[in-house]
Amino acid sequence: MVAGVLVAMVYFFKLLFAPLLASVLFALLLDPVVNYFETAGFKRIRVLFGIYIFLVIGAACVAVFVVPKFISEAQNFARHLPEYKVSIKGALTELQYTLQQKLPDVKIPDVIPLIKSRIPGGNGMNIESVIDNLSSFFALLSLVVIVPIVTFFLLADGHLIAKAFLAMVPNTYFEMSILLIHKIISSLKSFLRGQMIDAAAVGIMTTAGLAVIGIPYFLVIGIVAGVGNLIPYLGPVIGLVPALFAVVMQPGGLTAIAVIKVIIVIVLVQFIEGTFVYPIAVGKSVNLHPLVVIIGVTVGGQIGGIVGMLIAIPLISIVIVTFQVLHSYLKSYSII
Amino acid sequence: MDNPIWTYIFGAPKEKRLTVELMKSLPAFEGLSGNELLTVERTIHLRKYGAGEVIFNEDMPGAGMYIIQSGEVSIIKKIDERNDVELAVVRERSFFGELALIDEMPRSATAKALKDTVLYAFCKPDLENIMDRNPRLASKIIMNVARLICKRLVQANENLEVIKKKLLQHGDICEK
Repeated sequence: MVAGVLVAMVYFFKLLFAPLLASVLFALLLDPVVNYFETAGFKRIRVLFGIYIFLVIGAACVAVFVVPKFISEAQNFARHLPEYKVSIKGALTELQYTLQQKLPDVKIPDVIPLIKSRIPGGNGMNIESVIDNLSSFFALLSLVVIVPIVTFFLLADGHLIAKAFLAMVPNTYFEMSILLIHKIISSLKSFLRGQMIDAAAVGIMTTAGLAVIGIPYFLVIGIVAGVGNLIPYLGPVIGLVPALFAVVMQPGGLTAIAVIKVIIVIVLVQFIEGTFVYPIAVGKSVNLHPLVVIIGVTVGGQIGGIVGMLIAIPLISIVIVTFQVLHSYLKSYSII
Repeated sequence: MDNPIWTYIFGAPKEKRLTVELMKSLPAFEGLSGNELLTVERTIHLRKYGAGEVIFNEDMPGAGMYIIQSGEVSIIKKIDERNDVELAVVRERSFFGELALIDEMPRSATAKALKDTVLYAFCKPDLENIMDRNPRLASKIIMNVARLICKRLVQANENLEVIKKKLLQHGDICEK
């Protein structure tokens, strides 16, 4: 019986962990917006309904105007995939031949089967199967139903949840706990807000830059660059690689001018982001050592694939912010 | 219904009314409307302390002020490693620790319950939450607390003058 309950608890925790985490993140991001309107004299509950209506309209607009463009770019990509495969295969074979010519003593392995074996599902991977895997029933259900509902209640009654939790804290730790919770939540709010602003800025600038120089799939690449920017150090590479890949797919093919243009756009975006956006939006709240980033991204990738890689660094940063605050408070309360 | 979660979900109108009445009588919440008092009531924390239990310690970071619903609290200042002096005894319908609402500086004294005591804690994070959502209400509370601090500063200056005079008189006597 106990084992059954435990198994059920673990199962539900596993099932609900991602939607709950997403809800907390959304609540932290939306809280300042709700507060802003509440300050202007609107009732919190009405503001929440207003924001939800606005988000539904926004989602509908995205579905009508952006998604078709995105799908058409993806379909276009899928349609041209065999040609790209042939062109990349040709380039690799040529590279292998050149290397073999220049280094006759070294045995160059056959790279094509090697790459195929390294790509998950490389033998026969197609867009449809990836989409099928991603949109499993529960993922969709949690996204559409659980996340908005939990986010709504966290925004409406978040302070009551914190209050109920604090009521259970022993008197000795009450003052420390209330200050600690407040500090952690404030730090997380500013960190997440900063990261989102930074990612959005990179996404918009990359999209605009690539559109100006006429690179195909600029919208998809811009989104990838924006999201990829959540990973420090690797962000620029994540934006650059698909952009260079898109250059290969151009009707004119791979040209030095096109590559230089793409590199200029990516470097310019990174310069603007690093000089103006990041210091203002994120500041120096979390400075991760490159080694931590590499280990984090590797472990994240092993555990959760691409999604794991993407959330590894923000998650590590959140943990570090929490520990920094915890350490300073425990020290000031003479607990450590 | 002792579980705080059920209390927060289903509410406790009578307790709420009593708390609001208590808050109304305190200078820190002077001039607040009924709705504003209810807003503050929703954020404050009910705490129960046994006789002899420490509410906060001197030199620790302060979180906020406490309103005494019932019981008595002794405010104690450390003189040296072994000796303490009782600065005041705060009784029902009074409050203490309001300096921590403005700044997280270390507590200037220790607060200890003299008997079983029920307190309402109104902490700096609660005030900051109100500031985010209702700056008008927060500014009223801050102004009230500032007025209280001013009054106490004037009182402290007067006491200092009296002590100075006494010391001067004492000095004159010693010289003679």
